Amino acid sequence: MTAPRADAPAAGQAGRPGGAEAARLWPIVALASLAVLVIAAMAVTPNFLSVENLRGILRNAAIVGIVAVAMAPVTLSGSFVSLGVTQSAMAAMVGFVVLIGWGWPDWLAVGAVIAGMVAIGMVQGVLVAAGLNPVITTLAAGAILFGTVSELTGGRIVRMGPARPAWGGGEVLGIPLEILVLVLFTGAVTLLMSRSVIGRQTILVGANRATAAVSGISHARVTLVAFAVFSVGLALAGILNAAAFGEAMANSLTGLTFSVIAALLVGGIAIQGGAGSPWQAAAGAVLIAVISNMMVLNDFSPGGRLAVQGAVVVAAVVLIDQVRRRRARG
Amino acid sequence: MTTGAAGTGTAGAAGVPRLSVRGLSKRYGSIQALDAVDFELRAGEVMALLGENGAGKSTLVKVLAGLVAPDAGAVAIDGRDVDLFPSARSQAAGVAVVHQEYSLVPAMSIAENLVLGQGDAPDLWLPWRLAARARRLLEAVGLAHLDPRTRVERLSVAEMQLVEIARLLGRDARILIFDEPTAALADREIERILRVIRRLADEGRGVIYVTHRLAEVFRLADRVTVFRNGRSLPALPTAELDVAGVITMMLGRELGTMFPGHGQPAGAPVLEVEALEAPGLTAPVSLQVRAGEILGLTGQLGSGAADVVRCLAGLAPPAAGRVLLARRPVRLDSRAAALAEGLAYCSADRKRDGIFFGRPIRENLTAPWIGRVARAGLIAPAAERVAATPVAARFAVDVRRLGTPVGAMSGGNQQKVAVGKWLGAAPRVMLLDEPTRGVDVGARAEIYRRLRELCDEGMAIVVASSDTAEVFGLSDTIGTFYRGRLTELRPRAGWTEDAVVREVMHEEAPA
Amino acid sequence: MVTKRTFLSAIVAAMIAGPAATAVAQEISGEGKSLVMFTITASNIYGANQIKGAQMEAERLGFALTVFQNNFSQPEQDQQVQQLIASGMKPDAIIFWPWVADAAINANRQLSRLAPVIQLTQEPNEQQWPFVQAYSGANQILIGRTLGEMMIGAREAARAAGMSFKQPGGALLVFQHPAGEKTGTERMKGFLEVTAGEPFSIIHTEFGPNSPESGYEIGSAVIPRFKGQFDFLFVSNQQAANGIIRALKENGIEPGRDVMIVSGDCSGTLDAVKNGETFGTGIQPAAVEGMLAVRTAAKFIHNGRIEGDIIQMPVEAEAPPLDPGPPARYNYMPHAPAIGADGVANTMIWGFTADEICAG
Repeated sequence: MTAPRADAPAAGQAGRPGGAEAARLWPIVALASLAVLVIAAMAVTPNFLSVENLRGILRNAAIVGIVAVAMAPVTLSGSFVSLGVTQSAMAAMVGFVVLIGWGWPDWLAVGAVIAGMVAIGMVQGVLVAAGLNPVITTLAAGAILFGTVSELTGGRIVRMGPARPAWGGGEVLGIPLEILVLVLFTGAVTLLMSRSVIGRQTILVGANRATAAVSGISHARVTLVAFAVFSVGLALAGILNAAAFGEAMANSLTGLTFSVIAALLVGGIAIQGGAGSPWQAAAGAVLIAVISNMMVLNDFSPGGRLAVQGAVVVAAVVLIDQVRRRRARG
Repeated sequence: MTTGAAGTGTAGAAGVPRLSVRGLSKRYGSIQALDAVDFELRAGEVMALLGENGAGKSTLVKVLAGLVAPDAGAVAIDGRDVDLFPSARSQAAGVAVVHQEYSLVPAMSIAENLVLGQGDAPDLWLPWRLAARARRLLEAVGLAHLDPRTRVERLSVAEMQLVEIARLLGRDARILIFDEPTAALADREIERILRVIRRLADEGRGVIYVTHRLAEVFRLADRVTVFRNGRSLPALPTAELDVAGVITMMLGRELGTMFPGHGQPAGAPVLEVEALEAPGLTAPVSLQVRAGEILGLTGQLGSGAADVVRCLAGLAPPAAGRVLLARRPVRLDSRAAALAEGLAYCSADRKRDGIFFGRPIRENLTAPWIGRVARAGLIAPAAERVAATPVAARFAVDVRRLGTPVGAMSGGNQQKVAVGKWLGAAPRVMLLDEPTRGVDVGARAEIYRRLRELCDEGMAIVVASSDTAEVFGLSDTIGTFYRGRLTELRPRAGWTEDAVVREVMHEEAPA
Repeated sequence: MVTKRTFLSAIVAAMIAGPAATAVAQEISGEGKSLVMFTITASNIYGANQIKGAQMEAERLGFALTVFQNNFSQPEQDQQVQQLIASGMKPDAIIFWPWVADAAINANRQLSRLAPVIQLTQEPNEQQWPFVQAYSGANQILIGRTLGEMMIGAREAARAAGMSFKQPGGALLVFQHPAGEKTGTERMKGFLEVTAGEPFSIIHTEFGPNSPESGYEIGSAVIPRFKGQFDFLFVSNQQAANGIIRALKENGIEPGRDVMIVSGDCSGTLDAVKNGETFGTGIQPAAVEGMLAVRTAAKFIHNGRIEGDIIQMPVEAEAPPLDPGPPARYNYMPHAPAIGADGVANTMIWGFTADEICAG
């Protein structure tokens, strides 16, 4: 009750220097814990630092990272998170497989899937902008997508067949495609959020929707753009995964929703919005992939791995909360 | 249970003080919030605690409430040394704090709220006992007419404040601390609260009263302790002081006058309001503002003054009437529309919709007009800094701290940001609702001066405020509201401050 | 105790099924009697095929079949059981695939009061048997044996190609069902039995992958660690194998040349079997499992009892006519290996091709 008081104690007209530093503290904490983890991983895990293993980690982090980065604007704008991540990315994956299977050229299929996903995302964005609870809206959209794909495929695995794109699971200049897309996409979305008018407005709406409204910033426009960016990320993730595996089904990408939210939280993006940067979500995804990889190499059971992943999220959220409280207290 | 508490001392009586603080120090990082503070409170007196924001009074309150542990110093209650940290000890020692924010549960009844958080209430699960106890406490705060079963959400703000006080009385508090209890109240309700506080002190409790409103100090307090830069000045009886003297003590220098001079508004009206009907108004309102003019609208809380401003800001679309800006009719059906017409608006509650608390000052300042800084939708950080700097400088915000979250600043500086951010949008009319609520004296004068400067440059300003002194001091033209109606509107020359107060009370003279 | 209860419920069941016994026919006629089936969701390829097979067979025999699908959730299935009981429906037999065996015992008990229960896919455990008349489904030990035989075939092929093994008998990396799951342990039992003559050297067992994504995720962590130390991979199913193949390739290992993969069952696309990246896979026809479950139920309704311990259905291209005699305690579906493109092309079980069975 006393923490966020307007006339906080002890601050003279000169104010306190601590606040801004605390705001920048979290990324440092996150990077430091990543460094500690990597060192620990090297100590206890044979082969951890091999090129193959590191590349595997990044490749595994890439899909989660792309979607987490894409969801960052939604979260930053104060619309919390989507609970339909798995189903949406799966729909994109199945859609791409089917289009390639029909013999569509790669570029057309890529374009169609992105356009389709953006359309689906915009519908959700419109509903959220109209005041529907974003968590429930995305959950419902996910259920509809899953049900529809499930009915249309009859539970069957859909395949690309011989038309499978050669670039699927491939490399560009020695860099695996997923990692390249992750890096470029993260850069683009991070710049969008930090250097564009709509990005700034997204963060301000998340920081305080009422103040944003008084300042003439449109919540609807911000929400629509956030959902559009999110949809592009979902489409990219689905397409990359589809191209790499050449097949998909309604049950594909199980657990992606949790991993993406975990990456976002571990990356230190405020769940209530208004603070954080998309690159942090990518960092969170890598951090989780490192932990997950260490556990696989050290023979943790799947249940154990999930439990530890959950524990990491809880630890991160508690830590972030502490940092924020300290900042509020000055 | 004795609500009367121990002690029979009255103001000015010799003997053991109710509360005595000696050499209290507290440091936050590099800032010495309290520097060897001495403070004394006698039983039966109301001690006003004054000082600019950051002077140390809030920290003293926190130490007394047991929310922070002091670095050095001693506190004694009724002559016995006590340790007040953590807050459970402070409560056990008989200290109770009434905050600006209410901690009542709106959906619960008064009676239930009165026992919230009190573990030692063995028989209170019996409804009639609960009601009986509630009645006793309500009587003590002048709310005997209320049914204890009434849900708190149906009470007025002042009644909630009184229930909050009653709740603390239930804890048998010997020392009551009020932290700006009237910040959200209109004059008549303030009167009610002040009467209750006086009575509580007369019953033998020691009362510490923290406020920014000097009028209340002279109306209520027996003595005054002024804080400045973490140090306390010796307490002085109110009777020996006047307003100018208190301000000089607080600032450590002469303030000059609180209000700047008045303008010479001339020419055609910039803003014309014709027979406006809007939510909160019971009769059509017509008024005009010229360039270089400050129009002050005042009334009690809920009188309609603030509603006119909200309507003009596009936050509550008008039901009827015309609004002309530079002789051209404007649409006010959304905030964005009003903003596009050049109507800046600053609300009464800056934390709710005036600032982005956790975001840097720079982003706060440029938020409404960032599009003007951008090229092709992109923001160049250097360009933004260049654009934000003069705006900050204009409202005396430290330009070296543009990267600091605005929430880390004092209330006065936050308010300067909340008002100043509009300069970049080059508005034609500035609408302000309670522009200096929760702002210390120094920052308040600063804000008045800056508003007058803007006016002199040709802006038209409309201020809604329940602080009649503010409206009288600042405005060129004054309009008074009563129950949703504009009752009087004339140039300042046609008013006296007393007349404004009387008009706001509207014949219902205060008891 | 166990036998007595079984006996009692058999009598009850026989009384319910009484009138049916008088029907004399080459095949059993359902005469509109009702069957209820509890299984997993048709959004899963295995569930979809199983339901399809059961529906086809029920229609052919003249039974009314109601299917309750759960989304891999025991609580959901428990609710469905309660709903069935509350509906007042009196089915003539219930085909029940409990999603979590240990948690489903109460469901078993309640269903057994309603009608004879034929348990599907998951073999009943000791606590379940008192409430179950017969098991109908896959024979995991047989699948393990088939897998072992394919692995021996892979070893012979590797030797013929001049591959030298890192361990005597060949170094084997195992990607198994989740730890402790009966399917995995039974299959391993069959696998070890068959390969006892010249055992493989198991260098590491990894648990859990069940989809291309999880196969890839776990594979891309485990494979670098054991790179250059293994010759053979045992993977629980072809879907996981498809993900592991991607991880192998990314680590510069060419499946089919540097290492040989055999997968236990085939849900997933068979492209990798056809192009030789996977040496062979077990064809576990879910549709046939569904058909067999309906047949087992029909036989039990018809005869009111079980006879003998095991009936193992042989691999046949077309569905054999329904034998009207009583079912056994264990009624096993056919299971066939498919090696290479020819193997996939030539496999046909009860009228279904390998592609239909595995990928739908």
